[in-house]
Amino acid sequence: MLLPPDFLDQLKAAKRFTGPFAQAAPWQRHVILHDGKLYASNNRKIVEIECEIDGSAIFSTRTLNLLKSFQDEPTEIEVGDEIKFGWKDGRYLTLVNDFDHDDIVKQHARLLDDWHGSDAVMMLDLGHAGRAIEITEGPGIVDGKLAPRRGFFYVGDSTPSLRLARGDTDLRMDDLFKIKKDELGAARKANERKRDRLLDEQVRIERELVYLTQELIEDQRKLVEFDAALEKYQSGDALTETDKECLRPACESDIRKEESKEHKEAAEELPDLPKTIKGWKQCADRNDGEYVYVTYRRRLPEPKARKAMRKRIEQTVDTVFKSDFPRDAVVAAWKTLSQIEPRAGPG
Amino acid sequence: MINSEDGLWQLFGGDAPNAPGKNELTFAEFHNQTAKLDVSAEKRGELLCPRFRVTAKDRFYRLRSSDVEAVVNQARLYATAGKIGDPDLRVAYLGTHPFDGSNI
Repeated sequence: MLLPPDFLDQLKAAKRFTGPFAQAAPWQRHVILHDGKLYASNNRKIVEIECEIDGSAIFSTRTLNLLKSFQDEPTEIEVGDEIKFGWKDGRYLTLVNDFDHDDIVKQHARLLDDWHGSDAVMMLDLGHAGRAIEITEGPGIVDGKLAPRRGFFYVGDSTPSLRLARGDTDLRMDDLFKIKKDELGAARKANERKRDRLLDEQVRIERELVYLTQELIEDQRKLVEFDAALEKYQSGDALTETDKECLRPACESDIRKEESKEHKEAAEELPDLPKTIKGWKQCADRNDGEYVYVTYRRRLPEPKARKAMRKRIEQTVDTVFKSDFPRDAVVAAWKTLSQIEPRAGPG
Repeated sequence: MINSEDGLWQLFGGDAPNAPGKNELTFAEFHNQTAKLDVSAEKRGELLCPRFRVTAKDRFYRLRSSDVEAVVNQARLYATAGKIGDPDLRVAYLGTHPFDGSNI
């Protein structure tokens, strides 16, 4: 189709609303075309510009730079599996169309439907037919709805849980009940892991018990052999090498005792270390037969953050429990609540 | 060696400037054959600079990478190739009339 004369200007206007790469919204670097409208957002601003091109496509900075490299403007456009721009003299530019953003487009449209024309956000002048809004300061709840205050799609880089602990939560996006649900899930998983570890340990102990039973039988056999060899010795019979081995004491235990005594004496001859070093206190020493280890320790200051954080969490969560809090405001935004269908009957 | 933009078509094995070339080259090969070393370049990426300017708007090339295909005139060949920015970019000469280049 012929490229509408304003399309490139509209594309450039929408491009001004895009933002840098963000993990939470990688699409915010691009302009999105969907059914005759161009969408873009940098999380603080959203734009929707009406254009005369159907279909769905993504226009990246690279696309615009490539168009610019041709120096003159294209005259035709086709949007399908590929995006194709054409020029009168036969030149063209074809790019793979990576559109996979139906949900994102819906979110843009819903936010614009909810807030465009409201005092809760700032209206932006576009110079093109369409809608553009920007976040401003103001009350958190407007007309019973949670107003966007810190971002349309995400809040910073931290997690909802960390923001709640820091008293920095955004109720429009941070689902407090999901935090609790995740905690319950994590506790269950931790206990499952603990149970699995114990079951493994149980199997190991059972195996050890089998080995030990075999060792006991072996010990009994050695005692019988010892008695037989002793009897041979007593009766004056000639002893074989095996008999001699049965009667020869090993004294392992006493050898180890002597070694240990030697180590202890050597350790005692070492120069004494001070019991304390500038606030550090000696609490233990041991030797492993090769080295001596001395441990010093110092108590860390008692953390004060816990109390303050608990208080902040309670205050924030209490907000949504208050009788005058518009619960409907969070039902649309929080996934845990959206999943519940109160009127669904059994079966 | 090609020393002017008028002879660029010869790199692609064609019979005449108005006929399409017979070979497709990687853009790196093409660039190496049309560039000279500029030791005074301040940026490392500009050490190899074109030996001559390209201005012809009536000679066409097809640039092809994994996700982009473009037919451009000789004057914008380097600019568009630079914006595609693909090390595996390939270039074909289409002659004086851009067409789909299906014979290459």
